[in-house]
Amino acid sequence: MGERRVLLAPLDPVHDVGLKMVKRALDEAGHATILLPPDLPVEEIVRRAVEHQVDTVLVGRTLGYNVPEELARLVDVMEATGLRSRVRLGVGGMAVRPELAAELGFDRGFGPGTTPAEAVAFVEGRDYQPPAPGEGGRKPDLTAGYSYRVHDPGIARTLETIAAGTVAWARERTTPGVERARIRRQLLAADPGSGAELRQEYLTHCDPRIQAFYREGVPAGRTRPLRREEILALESAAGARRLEPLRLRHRRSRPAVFVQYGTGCPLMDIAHNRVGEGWGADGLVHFDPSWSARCEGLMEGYHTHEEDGSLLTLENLSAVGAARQPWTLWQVRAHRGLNTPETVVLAAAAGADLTKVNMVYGSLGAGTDPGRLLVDGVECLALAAEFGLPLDVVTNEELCGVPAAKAFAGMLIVAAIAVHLGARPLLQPLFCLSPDVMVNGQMDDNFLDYNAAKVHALRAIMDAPIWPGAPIGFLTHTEDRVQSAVTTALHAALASSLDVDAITIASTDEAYSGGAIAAASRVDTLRATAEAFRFFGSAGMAPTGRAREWAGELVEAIGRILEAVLARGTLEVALYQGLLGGPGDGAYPGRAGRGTVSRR
Amino acid sequence: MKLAVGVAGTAKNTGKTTVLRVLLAEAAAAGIPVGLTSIGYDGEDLDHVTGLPKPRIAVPRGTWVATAQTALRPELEVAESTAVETAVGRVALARAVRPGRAVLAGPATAGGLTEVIARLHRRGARLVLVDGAFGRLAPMTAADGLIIATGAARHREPKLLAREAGAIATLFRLPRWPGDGHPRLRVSGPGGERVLPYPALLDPAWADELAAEAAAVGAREIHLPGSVSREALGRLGSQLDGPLKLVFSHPLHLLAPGEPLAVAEALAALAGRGFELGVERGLSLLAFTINPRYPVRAGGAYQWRAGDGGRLLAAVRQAAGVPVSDVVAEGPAVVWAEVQRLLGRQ
Repeated sequence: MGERRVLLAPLDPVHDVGLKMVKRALDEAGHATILLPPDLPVEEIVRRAVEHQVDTVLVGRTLGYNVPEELARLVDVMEATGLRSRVRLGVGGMAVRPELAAELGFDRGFGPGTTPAEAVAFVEGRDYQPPAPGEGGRKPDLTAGYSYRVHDPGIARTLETIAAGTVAWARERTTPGVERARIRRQLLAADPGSGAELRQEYLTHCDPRIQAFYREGVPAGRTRPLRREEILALESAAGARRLEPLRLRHRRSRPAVFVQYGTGCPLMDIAHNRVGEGWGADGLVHFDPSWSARCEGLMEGYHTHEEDGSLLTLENLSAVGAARQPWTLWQVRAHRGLNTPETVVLAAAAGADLTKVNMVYGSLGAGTDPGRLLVDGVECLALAAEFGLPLDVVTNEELCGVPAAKAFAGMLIVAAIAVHLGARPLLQPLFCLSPDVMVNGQMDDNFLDYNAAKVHALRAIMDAPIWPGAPIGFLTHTEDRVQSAVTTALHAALASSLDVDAITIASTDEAYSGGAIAAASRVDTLRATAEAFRFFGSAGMAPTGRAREWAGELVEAIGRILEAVLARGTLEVALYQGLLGGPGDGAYPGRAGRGTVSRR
Repeated sequence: MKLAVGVAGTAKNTGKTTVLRVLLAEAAAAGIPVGLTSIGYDGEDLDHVTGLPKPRIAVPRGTWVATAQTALRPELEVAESTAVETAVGRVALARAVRPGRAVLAGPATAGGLTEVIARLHRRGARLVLVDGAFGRLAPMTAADGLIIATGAARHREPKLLAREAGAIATLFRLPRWPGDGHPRLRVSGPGGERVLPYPALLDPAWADELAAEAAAVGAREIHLPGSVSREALGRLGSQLDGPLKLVFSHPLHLLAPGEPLAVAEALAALAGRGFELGVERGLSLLAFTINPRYPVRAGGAYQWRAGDGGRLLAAVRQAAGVPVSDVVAEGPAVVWAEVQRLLGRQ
């Protein structure tokens, strides 16, 4: 790369800091720069360009009254003077957009968020390669480097005993969900057109409304199949051009930031996900409809509806997954309901990167029978291990009122079962103003201490990745979008300060919309989070000494709860008897799928 | 047989896009294959400079469009890409496979426009229409003819609008003395020829150097390529005596500083002192179009107001010396006739 001669012309009478930053970058890159004083007439700028025989002229100007006229005049005089055939022209400023630069005749426009490196690339006549999201454009492995060692030998023995016992217990049993997952795998492997017998067998394990779908073509749950043009649009979305996302994190490489989607329509999902990805999200979390979780069996094909959550079918999932950016992590949840093993099968087939499993939450806080979900969940974890899908163990039972210690004991048991089966779990404590905390006052003063205590406690027990969620700031949001974005951003900053591996954030519409989520509300929290990351950089938040005290108390309580679970004989019994959250905590064993567990 | 016509505006909202739409419709009705491009960015819903809503550019089926790949719409099928770059991406040639709409982001320079016009002609476009850009004219040197849209959005006072149009038209009537296109200031006379290292007359100090050289060779002819600043031209003129030929490169280069009245007055003063003035190259000024409507900001939003169209038209007609028309009030006949005349002449 030869030395380039660059004229830097601040048209703005006051603001020339942008050009000074560009000058520094150009000087460091070995180019010759001439920085003119601000506010020179157009003719003088062109005269200097002639005299200095420059290759490039970079103009900086905040747009204001008569400024477009001046910029256009500069370009026209450059053209009339014969310089445009050999001198490249760039303009930068807060109001500059590529379209405006094109209208004014510049070769390039540098708007807000432009880095000096982009200007250097322009001067050197090469395409600017922004720092790739993820790890150099690849997906980060959120579980890399973690041993899953349990530090306290006593807790380690307890967890391993519970895990081994639960796996042995579950392996003696089966459910319609486990059977459907087995058949679905066979169907996926079968030749197209074959598999009629398998499908008949599949239907014997389904609810009547799913049977009606396959036998009579009646879509379940107010859904409708996508039309041909909608399917074509889905396919073309997969080939859409690569995004150049905004940068979310500042200096730190963690946490990865996930956003949630589930509009009901895969096309809309793709549009929402593009917004999230464009504003720097690292990961996407698929939300399926809650009615489907209580229905035995899944449909096939492309389907849409206007309910909550997007239907789990291989076609829907594959379309949404294929439209994501190459570096985007994608999670399909299998943590509750009657279709969890089959969901993991579909997630793997569609190319998902992560799944979500927690039988304790799913049965105490999400309506599925504990015995049923234990059998299904163990199968999920085994499948996740086989497919190499890391999974988070979410603890949303805290939202019911279950104290963190009980929720964490359940999470650690599920994580231990996952590790026992060879899967790689991520611990997902809630960063939330939970009912338990509201009653007992741990957040009366601040939101830092108790959330930090949760992370400290989990780290004190197990060497595992931590992914606060889901979303962070749960129950601190209101319908006020500014408030909602700020609280999300502050919780994100706390997560970053604690150096956790990932977080999930909500849009500002999510807590209170009661319906559609506007794309702009996604931008709200992503921008707010980026701003918080920029504000703190590699500096940190400082919880008070209470954080460590509460962490110690949590560790002790978790140890006691685990011992009690072990003493109860089986995890199923412990769940029914409320050791990991009972009616007094607002947790009730679910009923969906009760009586569907059978001995193998 | 093949030509390119530019449509430029003296200001925002003078009706450039409306004229372009009218010409597209007339060409389609006449069965003339059309190519379409821009030296800026046009066809968007809202203006990128003012934020005002804009008329859309409707393209009939079969129209060839040269626009940045990023601005392509589904009705345009790409036939070839070019190496011509814009601030929004590389220019491609595409054909409208069905009637639709175009967003134009075309070559910003005369060199780029020359190449794009040639490619559109090769694709079969007999008439290439070049949409102008905000505040810029110089790339239009690549076109054969020019229509200038002006109106109340530029000056509401008819006399002022007419004076400016007359000044612009004067520059296009300068005699053409084809030359070698030498890109430097140059003097020649009995004492020989001297070339200065400057590509335009932008600085009074360069004018001083040029005047000194002119005196040294007893100059009969001075070549002034590129743009001229009013100040430097005045400085040069004050140091010269006639009879002397002043050869400019192109009327559009004289208009680049954006002060047509001042430039015309400076040239008139030189002519009055006996200097002969001409240009090496030029293009036909086909017509002015007048838009009597103009936007005003009221209550935080823009509203359209209508000026006195009749007075504006009459005043500009008297001063311009070329056809003048309001294509909305009068229809496209006057302007289209000028394009057809140029097509026939070519």
